Amino acid sequence: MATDELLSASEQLAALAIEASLLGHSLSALESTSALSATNAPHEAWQAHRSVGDALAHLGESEARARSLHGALVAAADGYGFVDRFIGAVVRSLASDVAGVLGAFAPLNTVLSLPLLTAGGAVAGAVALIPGARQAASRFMRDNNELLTNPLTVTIEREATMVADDAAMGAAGIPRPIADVLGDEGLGLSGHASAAAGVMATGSMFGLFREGPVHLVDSKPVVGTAPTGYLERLNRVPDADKTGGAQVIIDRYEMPGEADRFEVYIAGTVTFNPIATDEPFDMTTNMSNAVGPGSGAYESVAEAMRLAGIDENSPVQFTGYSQGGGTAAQLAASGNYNTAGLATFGGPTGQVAIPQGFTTVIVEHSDDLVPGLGGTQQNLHAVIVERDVFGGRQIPTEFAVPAHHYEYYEETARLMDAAESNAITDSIDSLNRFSEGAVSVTSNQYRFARD
Amino acid sequence: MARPEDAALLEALEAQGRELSYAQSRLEAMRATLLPPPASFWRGAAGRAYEAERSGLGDLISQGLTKVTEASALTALAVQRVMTRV
Repeated sequence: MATDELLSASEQLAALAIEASLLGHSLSALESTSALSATNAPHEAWQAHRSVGDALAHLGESEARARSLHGALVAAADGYGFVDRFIGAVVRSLASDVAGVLGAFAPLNTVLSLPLLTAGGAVAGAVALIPGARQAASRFMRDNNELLTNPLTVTIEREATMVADDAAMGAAGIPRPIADVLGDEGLGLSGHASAAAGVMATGSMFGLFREGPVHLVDSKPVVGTAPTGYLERLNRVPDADKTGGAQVIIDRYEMPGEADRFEVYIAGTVTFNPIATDEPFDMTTNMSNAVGPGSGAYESVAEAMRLAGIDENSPVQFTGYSQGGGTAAQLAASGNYNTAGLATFGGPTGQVAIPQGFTTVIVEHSDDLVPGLGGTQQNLHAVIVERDVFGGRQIPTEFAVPAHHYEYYEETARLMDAAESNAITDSIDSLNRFSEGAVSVTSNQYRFARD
Repeated sequence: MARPEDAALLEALEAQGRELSYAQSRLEAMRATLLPPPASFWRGAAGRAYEAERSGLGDLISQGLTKVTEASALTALAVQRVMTRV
């Protein structure tokens, strides 16, 4: 999809350069008309003459810029993502070096910085363990939300999560060239997931991030509808505060003469407490999701799907917000389901290897720290919708990470519904087609708890 | 009624007015149909660099249009002035 858009833009720019050149020739001819500079011409004619000269200069520059942009797009279309990957690779390589050196010289720092780099775990731990720290941290986050709500901060965060393993290997005395071979950029034996696993292992010594089995607490029917747009789809995602704690909603479409189809909607983080309590949609799941399938939320949704009658052949689409987006991506990537579509809003999905072959829409605010926790976005086959929510407007002071707030993702979904881009409209058409022909929709919500 | 000695100048100015009016409509069409919309295909630093260039190009076209519109209005004034010369 990206290449199509790139080529279409580059064709427009080529045509623009030609038109600017032709128009420039016409105006040049006008400028050189002798009557314009006739001695009996009034002063307005002379002023007009100067304005035509200025217009010519603008047209000449427009032509040059259009040609240059056209060339850049054609080159980029040959290898979409090259520039982003290049910039990312340079930043990551530099950051890896720094992290490795810091790790080697300061093992204690590394232990502390790992959680910081991967998910703010150390901060979360302190917040949980030190009296009064929660209020202080919350105040700090709110006071500094301009810094936190910044695309550059998110880019750095994405890169930092990718090099957390380098810091650990540096501390362990593993030479940089060997670390390169083992890491994300090499064999992938260490990396984002192993760093998160390290944080969980370290955290568990202090009572943090301890995963455990889950069980169903409650299930009940709710009103089911088939969403017809991005906003309606996002609005189907349960908000545990409004659903009596239910974190999963599953819609079943009865299809005449075919197997039933299912839409699975997954809630975001319900509690940010790093100490695992009975709520499986928590910080422990956020850390677990970075490691791979099997988090409390993942197991909850998998169990809800089993109870709803979904097996490996049932066509299913996943939609999730925030942590729910990450969990949805993990489920779609698991290979355990017949996934037909995936939509995530503000989810940490970057390092989840989402398979190709079905429609995937990933919505990320470029000034939202939460998607950045998923590391650099590797799913370039997906339709990735980015938006800088507070670019050029006031950042609300009442939230620590305002760009992650649900209402702003709703705003983005609304913009997507109004968008004319083929990539965005084709994707929603594809997600909508899933329910076409359904004769009934039945819906259930599920609430799970850790044992 | 223009003075006979201004006839050639008047004709040139009227032709210029027509040319400028045509150029104005071509520039408007250029800005509306040939300038690509904001891109969703590039992200991160590359996306911002592209958007800055794309929007800079749009500004240049708009400035060119402003100048042509200005020239067109001045030409109309010049025609009027020549017509009312005695």
